[in-house]
Order: sequence, then structure tokens, then C-alpha cells
Amino acid sequence: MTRTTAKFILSAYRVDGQDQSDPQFAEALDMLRRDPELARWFAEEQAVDTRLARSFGSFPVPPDLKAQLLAARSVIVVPVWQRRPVWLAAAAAIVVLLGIVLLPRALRPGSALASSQPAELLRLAEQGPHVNMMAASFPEIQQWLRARQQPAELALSERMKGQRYEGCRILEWQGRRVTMMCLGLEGKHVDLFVLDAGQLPGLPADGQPQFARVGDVNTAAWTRGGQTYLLAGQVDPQTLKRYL
Amino acid sequence: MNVDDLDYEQIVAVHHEPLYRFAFSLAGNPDDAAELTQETYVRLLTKGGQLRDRSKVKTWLFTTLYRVFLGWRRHATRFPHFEISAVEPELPHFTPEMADDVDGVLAMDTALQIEEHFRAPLVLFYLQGLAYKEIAEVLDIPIGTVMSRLSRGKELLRKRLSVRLQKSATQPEAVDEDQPNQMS
Repeated sequence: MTRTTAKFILSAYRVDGQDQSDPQFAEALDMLRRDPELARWFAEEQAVDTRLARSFGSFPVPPDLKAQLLAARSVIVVPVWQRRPVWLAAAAAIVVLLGIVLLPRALRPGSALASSQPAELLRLAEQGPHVNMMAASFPEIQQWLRARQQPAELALSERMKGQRYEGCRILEWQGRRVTMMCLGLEGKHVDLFVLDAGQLPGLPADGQPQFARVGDVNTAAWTRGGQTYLLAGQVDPQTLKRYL
Repeated sequence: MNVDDLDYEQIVAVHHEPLYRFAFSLAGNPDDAAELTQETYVRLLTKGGQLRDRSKVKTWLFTTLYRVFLGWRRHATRFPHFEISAVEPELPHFTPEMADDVDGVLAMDTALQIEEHFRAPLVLFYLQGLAYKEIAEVLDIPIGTVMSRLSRGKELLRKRLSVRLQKSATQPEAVDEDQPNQMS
């Protein structure tokens, strides 16, 4: 190894000694013992690097940046099913297995909602940003939906409309646009999906809700006024029922 | 990895400053740097589930920030490239004593005069002490390229710092007026 090559390699050697055991540097480091000029160069290189690292590390950071980043935690809502990826995978596997076992029943007229459909929607909601817009109330969300030619006159209970909303997003599912709204129900985060009627086959036409479980998320699905709704969250079915 | 409240607070506390500085070295202005940093943490919150190994969080954050920057750059003209003079004048050897006179603003402003493909590995090397292998992972370039760019980037940085220090020695007030480049 020439001195020039050794210098080239040692340029990437960090000042804190963390690279001491990296075999990539072994030969060049060994050469330092035999080449006093190279050793002098390396000592100076490390001295300059130490100081420049300190200089870069002192570049001012806006004092309020940390607070802003921490505040994002309360604004960006992490879907509950995303926090348990291993369980979600297991749940998804169970859902698929159940789907195979129960398929003949699901195909019969008047059968129950296939539980794989809510799971599919929930998985879709995990992708990308959780919301496209942030809003605190249902009327704000309606305004946003109208501006995007998305159904905004929704047959929801007054109790549901009066909740604290967090945001809204439009998803593409099975070639159609699906609205997803985020809101709080009794202190818990839930997502409300609004689909065209018939997008979740198997739901009774009389508006009776169907309850299902996906991982640790409970869901309620029902059809009303030409739309199908899917409410999902880590809340018990009784709580969901109170808002339908 | 689950990013719960405690994890998130700790990850913000440990990494937000070097991330912001790296963002500044890419974007060249405080607004875009803050936005890049915020977008990186938003992605941690929304996609942190993809991160299985807690020890990889630092590399994941820097990689994500760099990819967000590249995405922005593809769709905007707000990050113009710097032209580098082909002529590099003869300069005094850059010593540790000269480095003592370099503060954070001067270091960053000088780095911003270097082409991005040298600047990015250089700032990662100095800022967070990333190993050459980690820099290769963040920037998605071969290890040999990292070493080459580090070696050349250090040389360029020192030459430009020498020029700045020489100027400030002859025009002391000029350094005080130096501000980081505003590129937006």
C-alpha cells in the first residue's frame, strides 16, 4: 500500500476511534507505525477533523424546532393497527384462513360481511400520510369533501357528527374513491370510512350494523342513504354502537 | 419497532439537531431545513412500523431525510446547484489552529459552496460521525465512492475555508456579516 492510498483510506476514519476494529482500515493503520510522515499527517488530519466536527455540530438549530417535532406526535395519528405489525400479520393470516374456510358460506345470499374487506381497507389506510387535511369539526370536513366532488351529505348520527374530528383523507380502493375521516370517540382514535353502497357486499340493506374484529381493532359496518360506512378503532363494540 | 411516546421523545431529543444541520446542508436555508426535518419525523410516526431494528433508527432517519430532499428536488427548482470554480488557487496548508477559527455558521456556509455529491457525505461524516458504510447506505452509493467523495470533499472544504479565513484576516468585518446562503 502506498502512502497516498493509505491517506485516501484514512480520510474516512472517524475521530472517535469507532473504526479501530474495521478491517478496511487495518493495513493503513498498521502503516502508521512504520511511516512517521504518514503518522504526522494522520495526527493532523484527526486534529482538523475533530475541530471541524465540533464546528458543524455548533451550527445553530431553531430553538422551537424540538417543540414543533414533539407537537407533531399529537397531531399525526398513528393507526392503532400499525403499532402491532407482527400481530397484524398474524391477524391478516387468520383472516385469510377464515376467508378460505368460510368462503362457501360467504357466497350464500344474505351472508355476513366478509371480515377480510375491513382488513383490506385498514391496510390501505396504513399507506401514505394518515390524513390529507386536518380539521377539527365535521362541517370543515364536509366543505373539504365538497370541493373535491366527494359525497359530503352523509347519513351519520348527530352524535357522530358532533364529535371532535382530526382530519380527512381520500383513498382509492377497488377503483373507487373512499373517504376516510379521523375522529375521537370517548378519548380513543377511530377511523370512519365512507364507501359507495355495495362496496362491502354482505351487509344487510336495512342499515343493521355488522361487527367484526381485525387484530385488536373492532369494526362496525352498515349501509344507510346510499352509502356504506365502516367505523374502526381500538374501542369495544358497545362504544361503537352508541355512535351509529 | 413501535414508536411510542417515550421512543419518539427520545428519538427527537437525540437526533433532531444533526438532522436539521444535515437538512440545512442540503437545502441551504432554515425554512426548508426545518420542513425537511419535520417531514422526516412525520414519516417516522406514520411509517416507523417498517423499522424493525431499533439500532438502525439513526441511519433510517438520515436516509429518509435525504430521500425526501431528493423527491423535493425532482419537483422543484428551489435547490439550484452551485457552480464550482475550476481554478483552485494555491493556498496555505489548513492546520488545526486554523480550524479553531471556524465556527458552525462559517463551516456550514463554506460547505454549501461545495457540490452536493461531495457535501452530503462530508456533512454526514462530520455531523453525526456516520461510518463510511452508513454514509453509503444513506446516500445509496458504493463504499468506494463514499471514500473518494470524502477525501475530495475534505480537500475542497479546507481550501474554501482557507480562502474565507484569509479574507476575514484582511477584512475582519466581513466574517461578522456572513450569513448562511438563502437559496429559496
